[in-house]
Amino acid sequence: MAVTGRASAFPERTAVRRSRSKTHIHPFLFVAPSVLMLFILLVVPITQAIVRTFESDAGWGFDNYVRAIRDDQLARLALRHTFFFALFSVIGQYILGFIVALLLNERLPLRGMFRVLFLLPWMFPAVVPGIVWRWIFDGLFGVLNETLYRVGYYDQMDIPTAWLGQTSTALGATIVANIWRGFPFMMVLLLAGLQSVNSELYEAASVDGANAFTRFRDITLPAMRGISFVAILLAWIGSFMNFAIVQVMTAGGPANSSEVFATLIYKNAFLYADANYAATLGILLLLMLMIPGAFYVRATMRSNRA
Amino acid sequence: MPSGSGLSRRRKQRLALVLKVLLALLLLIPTLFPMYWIVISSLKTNLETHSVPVTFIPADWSIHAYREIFDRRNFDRYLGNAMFVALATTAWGVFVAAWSGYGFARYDFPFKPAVMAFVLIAQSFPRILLVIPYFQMANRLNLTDTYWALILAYSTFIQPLCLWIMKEYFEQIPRELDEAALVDGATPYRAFWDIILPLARPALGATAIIGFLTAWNEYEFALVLTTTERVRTISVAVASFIGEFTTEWNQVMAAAAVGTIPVAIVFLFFQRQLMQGLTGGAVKG
Repeated sequence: MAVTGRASAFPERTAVRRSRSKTHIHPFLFVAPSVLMLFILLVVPITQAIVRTFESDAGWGFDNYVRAIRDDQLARLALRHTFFFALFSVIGQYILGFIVALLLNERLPLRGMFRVLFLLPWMFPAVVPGIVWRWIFDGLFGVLNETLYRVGYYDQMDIPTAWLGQTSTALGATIVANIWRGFPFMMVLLLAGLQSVNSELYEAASVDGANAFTRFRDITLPAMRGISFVAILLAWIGSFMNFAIVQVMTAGGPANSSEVFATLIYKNAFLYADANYAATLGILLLLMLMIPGAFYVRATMRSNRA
Repeated sequence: MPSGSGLSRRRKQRLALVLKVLLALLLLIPTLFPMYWIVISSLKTNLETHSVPVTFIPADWSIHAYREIFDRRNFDRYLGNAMFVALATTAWGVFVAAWSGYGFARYDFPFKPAVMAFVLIAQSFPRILLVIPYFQMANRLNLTDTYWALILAYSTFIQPLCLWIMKEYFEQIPRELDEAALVDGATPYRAFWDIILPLARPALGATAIIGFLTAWNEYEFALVLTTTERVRTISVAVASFIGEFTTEWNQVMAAAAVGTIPVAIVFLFFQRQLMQGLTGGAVKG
């Protein structure tokens, strides 16, 4: 109390003193450690990577980019898979996250316990979701096939589906695992959004005779637009660059049917020992992520100013 | 009849509540089943994990898998590695984020908006791109297979998010507090360290948790920057237990379970702080 009282008693003097005695070194000494770290360990490596993209067997030039964009059928396939993976992951995470957030926003008994339980998938080390879902989807000893067998999906003579071993289902299975891992974070953001909706609006609408569906459509959804946008951007970015789930579950296989950009980059860099081409694909991935990234920056900076 | 309609309305509300609880329980089944499956599979024998019909409850309970990962696969080493890397990342990463976050919150400097925009967009830099130059850099500096490479990589990687959380929190602390200390003759560093930092304990907690969880859970850097078990962390170890031809799934699941325990503890005790830290920035808009 005494401290704040003194400061506000001499506002002008404080300001004058500050501006005169302010050696301009302080801001830099404060900001330097983090900015230097980000510079040395983010900007420099990425710049190095960019330089290397222009180097190939043919010498210096745009050969790597021509190869990636025009010639590499696998890169095109991986791009399609990545879009597919991100799109369906985000749709699944959003719908599930929204439903659970709506439920947890109600006055349920044991709400706190429900909230923690729904959050659990999100705490696991990055490789664990892929590992456990790989085991669940296992064609021979997987619990999914066992369950399907017990509910009569398979006939006695049927050969159970090898979900991760056939080209038509491998990518879908990785999406399921990614939805499971990612929906809790979506739920957290959406629940925080729901809790900041002005409850007087609902009361007024109830008085006016609006039913639950109308209230949801006319109050909840519009109020959730901002947070939904940010949540979807973050989920899209996370899914688009995801490596661990696909690498652990299928490593891009079988026959590249679940190859996404991240696994393709890893293969080029560490299996085919073509670091320059891998860096080229990495820079292309970075550029594709800069679009949602820019929207995220704009949304955050704007809300920061308000 | 007003009393009658009131009663039926209450009954309707109660029915709605029951339906909501049922829906929540229904959604919990797929949410929790994989965790149940990790634990159950880890308590089976290797033979039982490779037999049909698949059992939902072990016919032959066994802690053999847990014994194997510690006795034969050096899992204690990986746990120790992960713990050291995670704690060091947390200490260094949070200190830097707090120190610089204060600078961002209190001072103006040239190109500040551009630097802030860079900090934010750095969150969408794909790790898989970064590991390529990191791998080459670590090789050149003889840092491959050392703790330092991982600690530096992780404490940089958590900077954007942690810096942002700290900055937002410092901005809510009245400037008069720093100014009073400066009037009393303290240096800005003293004012930060003695007055402001202790007030930012909730934000420090949130960033510390994020640092620990990120470092413990990370996969890409650990995969590329470690080549032997000397510094390998649990993520890579767990994944490496999956063999090319045969996999002892009970051991993989035991490793997944044990590797999750530390983050589960952190998570269950601090989930409220974690959620506040994570949603603080995003929800304001």
